[in-house]
Parts: sequence; C-alpha cells; structure tokens
Amino acid sequence: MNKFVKLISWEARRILRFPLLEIFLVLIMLSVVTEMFYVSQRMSEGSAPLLLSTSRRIVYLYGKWIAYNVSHTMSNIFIVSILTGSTLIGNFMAKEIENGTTKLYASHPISRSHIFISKYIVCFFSLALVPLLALLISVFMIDPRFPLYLMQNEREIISLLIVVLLMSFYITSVSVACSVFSRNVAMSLFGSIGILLVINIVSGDYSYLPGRSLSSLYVLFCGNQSYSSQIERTIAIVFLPLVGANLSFISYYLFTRRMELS
Amino acid sequence: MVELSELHKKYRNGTYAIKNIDFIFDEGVLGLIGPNGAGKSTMIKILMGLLRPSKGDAILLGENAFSNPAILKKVGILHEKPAYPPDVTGREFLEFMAVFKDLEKSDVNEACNIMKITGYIDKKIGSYSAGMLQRFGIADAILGKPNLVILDEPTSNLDPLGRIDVLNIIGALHTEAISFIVSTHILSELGKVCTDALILNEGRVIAEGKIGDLGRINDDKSTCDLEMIFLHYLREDIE
Repeated sequence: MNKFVKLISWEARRILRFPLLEIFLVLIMLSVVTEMFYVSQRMSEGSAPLLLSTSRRIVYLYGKWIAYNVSHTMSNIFIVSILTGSTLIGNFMAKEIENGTTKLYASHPISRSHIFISKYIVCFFSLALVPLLALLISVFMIDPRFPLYLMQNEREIISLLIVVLLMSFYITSVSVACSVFSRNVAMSLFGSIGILLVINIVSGDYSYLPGRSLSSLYVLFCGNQSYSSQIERTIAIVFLPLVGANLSFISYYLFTRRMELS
Repeated sequence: MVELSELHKKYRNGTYAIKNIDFIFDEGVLGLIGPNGAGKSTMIKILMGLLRPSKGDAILLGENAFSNPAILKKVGILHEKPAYPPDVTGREFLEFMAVFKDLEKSDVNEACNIMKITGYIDKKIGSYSAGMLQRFGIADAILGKPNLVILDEPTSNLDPLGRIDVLNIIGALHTEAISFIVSTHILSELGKVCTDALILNEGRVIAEGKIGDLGRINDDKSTCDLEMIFLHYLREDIE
C-alpha cells in the first residue's frame, strides 16, 4: 500500500509539472469570468430576472439565477476540459506508452495494474481540479453576492462538485481509452477530442448526452425536477457513470492483460 | 535462472520473431548474440514480461515475470533505448525505484559510485548526454546488486574508455555472484567477460553453450574470440 501511495505521489508530482495545466486553468478562468461579467451586468441593469423568466431554457430556474450562471458556464468549462483532458492524458499516458517510459516502469517490480490505476487517479483529479478551481476562484472573486448565496445553500456546492467529478470521470475515461487503444499521442489526442466534441455537439438534440446533460444534471441535483421527463432524467444520470465505468474497465483490462510493451 | 521452453513469438503479419527456443541458463555471463532482427531484444522483452509469447514459456528465477512482476526485484535491466522520464533527476528516479526493490538510499549511492555518475546524478535526466544516459541506465540495472542483470546493448553510445569500464564492471560484479545476460554487437570486447553464449539467427538458436565448447570450431582450431565464433556459426547456418 505504501508503495502504491508512493507511485501515486510520483505521478502527481510529474503531472503537476505539466505546463498546459496552468494554460487551461487560465482559459477556463477567462470563460467563467466573461460569463460572470455578462450576467452581473444584466442584473445590475435590472434585466436579468426578466431574461430568466422569459427564456425557455431557464424558466425552471426562475428565482435561482445563480444556478443559471453556473450551469451556463458549465458548457464552456466542459469544452475547455475536453481540450485539457485530452491533451493532458494524451501526453501523460499515450506518450509514455509510445516512447517507452511505461515499458521502463513495467521492467521494474511495479505491477501493471498499479501503473494504470495511479495514472488514472492522477489524471482524474488533475482534470477535476481545473474546473473546480476555476469555478470557485471566479465565484469568490468576481461577485461577492455569489459566495454568500452558495454558503447559504450547501446543495448548490455539492451539486457543483458532483457534476464536475462526473464530467472529469467521463473525459478521463474516454481519453484514457483512446490512449490505451491507440498508444500514440497524436491519435489519442485527436481521437479523444473528436469523440468528446462530436458527442457534445449532438447533445444539442439529445439532452441526456454530455455536455448538455451536465447543465441539466446540475439543475436536477439542485432540486429542480421539472426540466425533463423521468426517462430523460434517468438516462442523463446513468449515462456518464456507465460509459465512464465501462471504458475504464476495458482500458484497465487491455493495459494489464493484453498490452505488449515493445 | 532463465528457462525458455518451446518459446515462439509470432507477429500479426505472420512472421516469427522467435521460433521454438529451448534454453536454460544457470549462472555466469551469457552473451546473447545475433545479427539485427535475430530476436535478441524480443527474447529479453518476453523474459521481462513486456511481451507475451505466442507459445511456450519464459521463466525468470523460477517465475513468470508477466504474472508475477515482484520477481523483478531480483532482476535489473537496461533496455536498448531506455526512455527515462526527462523531468526528474537521476537520483530521484533511482531512489523511487529503490523503494519498489526494498532498497536503501545507500544502495543508490553505491550504484552511482560503481558507474561513476555521482557528478551529474542530481541533474535532470533530460539534460544527460547519450553516454551519461547509458551509464545511468546501467546504474539503474545494477541497483541493489540483483541476482540477474540483463543489458541490451550496454556499450552503445559509450566511448572506448566507457566500454572498457562497463566490461570491467560486469567482470567485477560477476565475481560477486551476479549473473548477466548481455546483448551486444561489440563481440570482440564481450568475449573477454562471457562464460556462455547463445547465438540466434532469424529467431532460431543456431548455437549455445560454454564459450570454451563453442570455441572449438574444428579439430585444428580453437578460439575464445566471440566474433569469430559468431561468424563461424552464422556461416554454417546460412550454408
């Protein structure tokens, strides 16, 4: 167990040296901040409540304008997280398989399952950290009314946390699967970004697909049950964990039982 | 120490990298010899559990390294083109690996002293030259003085003095009951430290045994020159 913890901390130290993490953190911050200014401006002009009540997309959020704000930025964050996750995991997993670093680790007394799980955990939490930090920092920095509201409503915070973790799990599982299947940085990067973005675009028509489902899930977890049918809600809740778990299991099996490190 | 039985490795395109190798190596310094593409590196990778054989078994110190990687605590390896993480220092990497081999920091220092890399061990691996990296890789392989050290092209990227150093180290460590499997093209130098040889061609074993036995090329002539031995058996095989 001690060795496994050591392996995780080793991988964590290595991934934290990855400069793209900071770059994408700034990108996410910008996307959130821009949105924040937009909503704040509308509200100060007195038009935000009107906007919320007349927009079909957010009728169910009437009286909960903070939810609108966060759920709207969720889609921006999702797209940036796709880019972050795919690049990060492509460089951290596919590249190390491709250039032989994984082979080097596997030539030492470290089990393949430990190598895979440690990399997976580190990728997942690094990816989750980016949107969480971006959201929290921006929420606390931009408008003092937001944190007060959030502090009054623990459910909002928990909902945010659940959705971000689900989102990170989904992106990590797709990117790791692309890395393990392709064992090539370029193919992993473009495969992962392509798959995730196409599903994101398609989600415009199918609300239970990510990323539209992420905003919907956030609202649902906040306690609003009225945005869709029971079936759509169930699919939206089940889709991300189910896809993530299946892909993760297949990647694990392939990496530990089938992969040849030549 | 190493036992290969009916070992086959077939690629997806149908070609064999290794074809029906039966071989046992107990202890000593084994020279793994063969032309490019003979299957030397593939054999090493199968032994280390990195590749899976299409048929047959590869047993390392009584265990299969693929299903029981813990056996690799007693084995050190230098790959042909090792890809060490460039963003950590040599010491960080060796100390990290020492944890998995249940070794102490003093073992890291000892390996560094043997390979004469103490001058740059605290620098990032990415800044090492090819020769420095090769020495570092050998230090990683002999870390903790394992029972068996496998070196794939250990003298590539080294200057003549470096080559002599490495061969002397192999000889010295062998006297401390460490066995070696060395795959290299520099046969004339390797012959000085080898006790055994396994000669491969096109994935097959064409000769194996003690250097003294293999060196009796014919009734009149006997040699310890590994290059001559290799060329003799290779010609025989081609004919």
